[in-house]
Amino acid sequence: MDSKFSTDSLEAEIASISITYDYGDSLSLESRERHGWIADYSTIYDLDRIDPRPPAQRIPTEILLLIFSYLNFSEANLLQLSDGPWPLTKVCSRWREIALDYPLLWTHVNLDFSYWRYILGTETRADLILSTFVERSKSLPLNVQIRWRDIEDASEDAYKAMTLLLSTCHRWKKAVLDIHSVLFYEISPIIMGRLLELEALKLNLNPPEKSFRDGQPIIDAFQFAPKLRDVCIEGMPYATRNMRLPWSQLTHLNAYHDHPNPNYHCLRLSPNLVECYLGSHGHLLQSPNGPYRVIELPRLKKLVLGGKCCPRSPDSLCA
Amino acid sequence: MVTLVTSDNEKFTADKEVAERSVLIKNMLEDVGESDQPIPLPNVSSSVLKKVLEYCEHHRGEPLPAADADTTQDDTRKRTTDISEWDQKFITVDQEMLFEIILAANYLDIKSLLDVGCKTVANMIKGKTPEEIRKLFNIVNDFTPEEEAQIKKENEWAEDR
Repeated sequence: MDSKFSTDSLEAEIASISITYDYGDSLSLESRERHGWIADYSTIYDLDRIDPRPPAQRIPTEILLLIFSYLNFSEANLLQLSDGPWPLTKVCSRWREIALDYPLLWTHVNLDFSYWRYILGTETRADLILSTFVERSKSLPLNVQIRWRDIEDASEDAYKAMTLLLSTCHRWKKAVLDIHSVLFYEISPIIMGRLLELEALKLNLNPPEKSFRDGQPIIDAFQFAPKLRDVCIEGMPYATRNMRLPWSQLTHLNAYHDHPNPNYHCLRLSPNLVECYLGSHGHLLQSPNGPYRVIELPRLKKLVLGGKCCPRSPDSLCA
Repeated sequence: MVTLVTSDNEKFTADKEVAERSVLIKNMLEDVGESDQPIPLPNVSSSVLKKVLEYCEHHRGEPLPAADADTTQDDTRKRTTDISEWDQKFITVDQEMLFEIILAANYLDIKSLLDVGCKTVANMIKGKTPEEIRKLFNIVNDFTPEEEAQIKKENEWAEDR
């Protein structure tokens, strides 16, 4: 497209309009409008031709957003400011404005206090960092990971951060909780009945061995979660005895531990399972009391058992 | 065949099926109907259009992605930055050309090419510090004193002590 030609022809047209009809109010208005178009057009054309900015700076906001959307921060530690979306906010003014205002970047909330205490050896204002994530993610669903096994000597800021994170539980879509067993009971009154968006849950429990069977109170924090379908439980060989889950809703279950009990009772309570992995250190086909009773799972497409009689391979058994 | 005219006035001919990988061109052809008239592409230079047509030719016949909602707001989409081997080789170009291809793909509305370009840039950004990103893309640190102060404050939230 020859823009100079277009500009010249418009100028000529304006001159013609001005000479012939300079007395006509409406046509003078038309003339002024066309002058405006030329000015706009010339500005756009010139900017396009001589834009001195580097290409990364010329790309429009919607493309920068698309680029940012491909940055996966699902494993980024929230407490490490050199990770996650933070570096994007420190490049230049434009990137900062776009990154801070793009909720999707702030939806992975990984609060790993073990990292904070033992690896980095730093103190943090976890509460302030977390409140930034909560605010910036606006109302989008959150993918939450909490790792907090050693709660001794935890700072007030850590508890503040935890309290703030729990207050967002109605937005949790996926949750991974690798926390001290005591915390499961402490968080229960806060989150129970509020996990309305939760679809996937991973629990790392590992309570003391002697309390496997009857020693612990029941964990009931997750029993009301209408969208929950996918559960992974590590370290709870008597899961159905020690915790309440909406078992009948589940379509995907993954349960494993270092205990002989294979957790088959989970299967009896979960008739809608489509995929299931069970791993234990016991004999998988026969209990001390003889063969197991038949379990009917009409929707099951894939079953993997890992234990003494089967290798722990994902394809070891499929039904 | 379709004739395309670039911003530097070069003419390219392409199979209709290839050119119609661009939603913009597809819509234009539908609007105009059967015509031999060349299609002007004032925002695409000849060197960039050559690359774009190479991409469209390679992906000829593949199903076009559905016109969907704003994907930058969709958090359920699986966000993988995997790029096929051919696409990776194709997009191994200098940075100026990479961004020109992205701009052209956006203008011509070729979603799969736009994705390849954006994934490539995302892969370049991954794991880099702000300073490294600035250096990589020749971006000037233009923070206002207020922004600098806020960033300093944020850095203190998790500072080594």
